Amino acid sequence: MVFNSYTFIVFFIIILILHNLPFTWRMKKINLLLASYIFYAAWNPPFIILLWISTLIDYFVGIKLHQETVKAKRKAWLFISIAGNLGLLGFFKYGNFLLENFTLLCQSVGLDYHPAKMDIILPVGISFYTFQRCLTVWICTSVRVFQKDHCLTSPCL
Amino acid sequence: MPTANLTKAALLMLCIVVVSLISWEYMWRHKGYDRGFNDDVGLWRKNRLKVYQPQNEATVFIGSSRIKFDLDIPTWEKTTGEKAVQLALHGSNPRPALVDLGNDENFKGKLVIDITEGLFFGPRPEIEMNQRVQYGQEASPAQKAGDQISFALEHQFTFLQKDLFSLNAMLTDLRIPNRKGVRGDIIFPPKFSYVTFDRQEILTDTFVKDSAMLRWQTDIWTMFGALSDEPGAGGDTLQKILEEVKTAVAKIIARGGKVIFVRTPSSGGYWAHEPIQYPREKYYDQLLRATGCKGIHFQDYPDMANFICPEWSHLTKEDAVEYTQALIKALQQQNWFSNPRK
Repeated sequence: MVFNSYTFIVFFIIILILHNLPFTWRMKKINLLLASYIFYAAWNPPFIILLWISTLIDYFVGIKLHQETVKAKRKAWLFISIAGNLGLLGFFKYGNFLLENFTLLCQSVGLDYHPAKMDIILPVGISFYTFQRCLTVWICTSVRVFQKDHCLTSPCL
Repeated sequence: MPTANLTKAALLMLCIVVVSLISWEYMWRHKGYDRGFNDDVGLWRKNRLKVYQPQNEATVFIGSSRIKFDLDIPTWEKTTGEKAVQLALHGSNPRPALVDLGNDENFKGKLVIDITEGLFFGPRPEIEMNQRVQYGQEASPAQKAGDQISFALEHQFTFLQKDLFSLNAMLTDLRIPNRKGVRGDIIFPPKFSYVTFDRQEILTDTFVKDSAMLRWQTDIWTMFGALSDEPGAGGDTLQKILEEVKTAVAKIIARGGKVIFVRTPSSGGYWAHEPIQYPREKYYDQLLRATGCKGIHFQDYPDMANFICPEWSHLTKEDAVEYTQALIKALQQQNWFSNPRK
């Protein structure tokens, strides 16, 4: 959904109206969360699954970080979040690059390895939302001001 | 800034926008322009989705510009009771559309392929048609929604026609002379044609009645090589083209579809040279032999043979009605409408 399209104008007006209706703050956050998902899915619906995976990981990691008091365990949760997010980014951005190098490595030691070619499309904005999430979880870990509700606003692009 | 002031500013802005748009629209209508549609990828895709109708309900047309002008869709639909799905595109080679339909396992309908030899057998890059085929397959939900909004707005507003009223179109229309030795873009006569929602293209009365504009257009055709006698593609190039067409047509027929070729009328400078550049025996007739399909060449039918295209290539609105009736008659002779389900 590009910003100078009719679709965006209509979408933005609807969201603006919804946001200014007398809903509760929680309802407004849910509206924004759904709007973010619709905005992202409007490019290519299947890729919304990536955003959901990322959201779910960080939502539950966020809750755990809020509840956990042992420093080592908090670091472990942080690691899980960062590994999950960067893992997705790494697969989509560097999957082919790594596979090609691994294939070359195999061939250099005499292994006849021919993996199936991966036709990977780079999801729009994956770097942006990955690093945004990493930053959010990092803040949750280091500042300890995290509240469960904050998770609802984090996926908004 | 207090909210009250922002509301006032927003209302003022809204008023200015509405008044400006109404004035802009009124001015163009006052100058004689009417509503028309942008013949863009979205409008093409809208029609592409209609190709899956049963054989007794629709015929699909692909080709270059001639069939877009020459097929009068209201006449076709009124006379045959079937829909006409127009997928032709001006200035383009229809082979990518044919290959697309051939590869589409769900297309089992009736297909009319219009042949303009210079484009069908020509070397012109197929960017425009390829873009449409690709968009037909890959449009995102946001683009699809945008198309629907565009259609709704274009039904209401004249000024949304990009070829006439976009900033680029209007800058081009200023006709600022080029520097010496610099060749600019080709500028087509204003009010040349307009496009309907079902993608029929119609020469405007203003254009047809203006001899200077007709001359302007035939000069452009001359620049495009209308008066050239240089032979068209031959040898391996021609064989590859024939093979590509044969394969796609065979796929459609194997699924139960019907295919026929049509050669729409041309006249003046075009018709004086097209038979020299693209002799019928070597191109059109060979195409029919290669594919095993029937063809309707305007020269073979007395009620199609004598049309005069005012700018050598396309029929007027009135002649398109007559040509369409003649085409339907010729198709009936080929049992085009004899589907047992009808």
